[in-house]
Amino acid sequence: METLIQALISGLVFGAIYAIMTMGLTLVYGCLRTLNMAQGSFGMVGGYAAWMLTTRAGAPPIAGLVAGAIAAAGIGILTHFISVKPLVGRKDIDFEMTAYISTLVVAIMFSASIILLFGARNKAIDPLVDGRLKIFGTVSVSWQQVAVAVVAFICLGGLSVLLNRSRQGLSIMATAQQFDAARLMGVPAGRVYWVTMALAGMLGGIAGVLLAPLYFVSPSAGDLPILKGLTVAVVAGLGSIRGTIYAAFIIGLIEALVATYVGSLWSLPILFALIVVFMIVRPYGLFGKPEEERL
Amino acid sequence: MSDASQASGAQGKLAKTLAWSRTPIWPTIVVVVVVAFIPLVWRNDYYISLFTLILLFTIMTQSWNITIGMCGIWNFGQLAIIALGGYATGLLVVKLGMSPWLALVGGILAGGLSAVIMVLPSIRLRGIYASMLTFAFAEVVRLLIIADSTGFTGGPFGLPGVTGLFDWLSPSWSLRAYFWLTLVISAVVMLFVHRMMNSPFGMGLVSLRESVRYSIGMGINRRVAFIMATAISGLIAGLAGGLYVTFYHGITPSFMGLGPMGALVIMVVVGGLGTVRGPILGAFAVTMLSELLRDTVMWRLVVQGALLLIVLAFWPAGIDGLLERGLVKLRGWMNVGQGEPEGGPQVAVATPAAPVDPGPSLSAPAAQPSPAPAAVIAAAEPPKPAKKVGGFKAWLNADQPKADGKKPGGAKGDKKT
Amino acid sequence: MLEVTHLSAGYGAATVLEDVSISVDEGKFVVLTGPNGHGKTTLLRVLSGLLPADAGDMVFRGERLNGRSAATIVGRGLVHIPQGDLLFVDLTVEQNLFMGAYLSAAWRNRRERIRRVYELFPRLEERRAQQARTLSGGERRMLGIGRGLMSNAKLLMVDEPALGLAPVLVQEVYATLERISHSEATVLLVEETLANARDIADYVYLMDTGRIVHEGAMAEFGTDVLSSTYLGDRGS
Repeated sequence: METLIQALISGLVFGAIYAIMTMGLTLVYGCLRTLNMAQGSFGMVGGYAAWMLTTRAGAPPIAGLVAGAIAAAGIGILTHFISVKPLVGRKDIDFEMTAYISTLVVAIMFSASIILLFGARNKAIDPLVDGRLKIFGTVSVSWQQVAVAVVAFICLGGLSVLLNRSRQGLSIMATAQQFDAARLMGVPAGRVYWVTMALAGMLGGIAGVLLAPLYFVSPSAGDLPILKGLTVAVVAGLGSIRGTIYAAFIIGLIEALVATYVGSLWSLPILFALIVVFMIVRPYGLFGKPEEERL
Repeated sequence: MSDASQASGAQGKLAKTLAWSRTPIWPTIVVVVVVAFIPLVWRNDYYISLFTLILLFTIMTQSWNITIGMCGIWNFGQLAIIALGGYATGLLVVKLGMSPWLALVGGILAGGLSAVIMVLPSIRLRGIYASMLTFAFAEVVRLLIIADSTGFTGGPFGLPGVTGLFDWLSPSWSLRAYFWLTLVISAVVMLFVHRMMNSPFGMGLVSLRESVRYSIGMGINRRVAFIMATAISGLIAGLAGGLYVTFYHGITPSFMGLGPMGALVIMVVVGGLGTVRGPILGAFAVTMLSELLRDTVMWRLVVQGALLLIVLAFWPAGIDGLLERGLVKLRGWMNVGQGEPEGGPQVAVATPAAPVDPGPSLSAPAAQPSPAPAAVIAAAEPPKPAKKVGGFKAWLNADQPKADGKKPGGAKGDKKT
Repeated sequence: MLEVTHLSAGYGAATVLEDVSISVDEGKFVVLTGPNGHGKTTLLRVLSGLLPADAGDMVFRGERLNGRSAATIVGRGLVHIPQGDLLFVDLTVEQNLFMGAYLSAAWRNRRERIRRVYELFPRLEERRAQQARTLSGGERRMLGIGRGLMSNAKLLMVDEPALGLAPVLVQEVYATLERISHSEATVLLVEETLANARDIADYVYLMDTGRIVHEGAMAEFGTDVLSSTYLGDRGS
């Protein structure tokens, strides 16, 4: 029983991280119709920024989180300008596929660049907070996990306010839902695009910093997150914000349960088998809509 | 096509040879024979092994091109298919003690089978979903192999000790034998793909890719056609995998990783999608580039990636596209002196591009969901006005003039790169 | 207010509009009619900046708008309400309306403006927190028009507002459009079924295959003119 609760707690925390991480994918897909394979790289870069500030320069962990968010947002904008923007509006290419490949290659380039700058070795980073909180019996939760949950909720909450109340946020959602009408309202598509990518970068960066104490800061730190992010996105339905949150927690819980009861080596193949099943049975995910196609 | 028959009468033989609308069997044989001499005169084993690798990549990219270039299905599981062919061959040799030549056949079949299994579910899915599905399949395969602790596949450390095809020769001659073998095979594959592209089957595939409505109208079963093409692609991929595993005496799951997949993508795209020459050019260019930057592995990745981005931004038709434009100009220049009435350059342009180049498959399919600023608003208004006789009379009768079929991307075989 | 002279435009090699000239005076209700697929929507798209003009001029309130971005054109008060509503379906009614006031000048006054829209369309106020996808056909139409009003629109170009609506709703929509043309903004209407607009139109342009083939005051477009020249009423 207590193992179960421990697993559930772990699953919820991971779910929260996945939600933030995948939200970037969701926003970019909804708005730019791009499956941003560099999303994992955003987290990876965020981790490095946090590492530089905290472990190297001795700043407090919160500063690392902020630095990671900002650095990753910058990388998001960079990604947009070198791999997505050149493709927008062109009639001679299939945009979705080309952008997919483009961002995939950019992700590889980011990893390679990081190796050039920092070397290939893993770097350790301290968690935001230390220590554990005992709940009952053998069930405990680390303060880090609590911190993660808190950060995640703040992020998601902030995002919701941004998207639903602010002018810029509404314009992102409007562009995602009905591109032509948004233009008719005077929304500058170009600006919405890079703002969305910056936002995706920030979210990815935060997720990366939260994951860094667990998975180390390394050039390949983005590989796993993008794979998991894809799983969540597929289950959610590409572009669905609500779906992303549900799917993130579902996946987090499944992963935690599989890791606890079957073995952590199997969690990833099972997740991917899940993608396969979903794509066959319900390709638009839980909440995705076929009419998302912009014809 | 009637242009072609006009051309054969009106044009010189030289222009005809340059036109690739016929299967260039003789030129290929000539090239093969010439290239075959290289290992005999050149002592440097390293470069021979490099060229063999390039030829292997050529076979891989050609096989991948069938799915992408002709069917328009972005099968990101291609490396997994190749790897499965390799593993099949390897396992047959290592576990069952089969002769590598026989095991190669097993690899071929494994490739064909896994390709069909992987692509089957994604046929009815739209572009990005289809590719994600194949990607997921490939990852499952890779991760399962990595997770395999039973020692059957060798797990994350790979499958070692696979006997080579020519191990009974000295290493130097074995290398050369491999070179010749892959040379011949890649030439055969290239000719085969060329044939396939220009056959009714191949051109049917391309038109299916562009428009599903066409397929229904023609009574072609789209799925069956795609499955057949995928099977062919898989068989070739399996062959490549088998050759790889016997050449390198082993294979590991990292073969299917993101890095090699990226390299393969770059080869195909930079070379030129949907063409016969493209994969060859791409394999050559990218591998040579890798070699130049051999000592600085990480820079290599960055440069290769940058190359892809630049190509995508400026020359999405790849090297082959540039080559094509150059050749077209060349032909036009050569035909100027022939005193053609209306034919000359026009005919030169008309003949080659259409059959061989069904249009870069990165190009827009009939439905383009792109955030293009010029996207169509609530498309009740088609691009061309319905110029119908008695348009007003139709309006009078409360008939809506039918919208023209929208083909914003242009017809297949759009030669203007 | 709006002067379009010798405008030509098209998609790539295909020319859709040829030598189109129309003018809309302030306060006049102008209708652009003709069979579907002959360029009416394309003309609106050129005017709103989504499609570039190949030749000719568009002058709005003394300013030449050729080559300006859609955002600029909206900012000047020329608003295009597209065919089929194109609502932001997952946003609420109120969010849709606010989006209409996206441009900063309008954004600051958005609460005031939305009150005026709610006056015109009380049903929208009832449904303000509902997702746009839950609205009925007529309500969607109202939302689309209301959204257009949220910016400081001086000239509203409405594309086929009667499309897909039951006759009762069509009347309602047209009644509202008439109110709007009297109090809020000038209206340029694209309407395939001229009969719908017969009662409120002041001036009519007839478009056939991308050209203006006839124009005149609504009174001129009587039954005899129509049936004898080009077209006829359809069982109205």
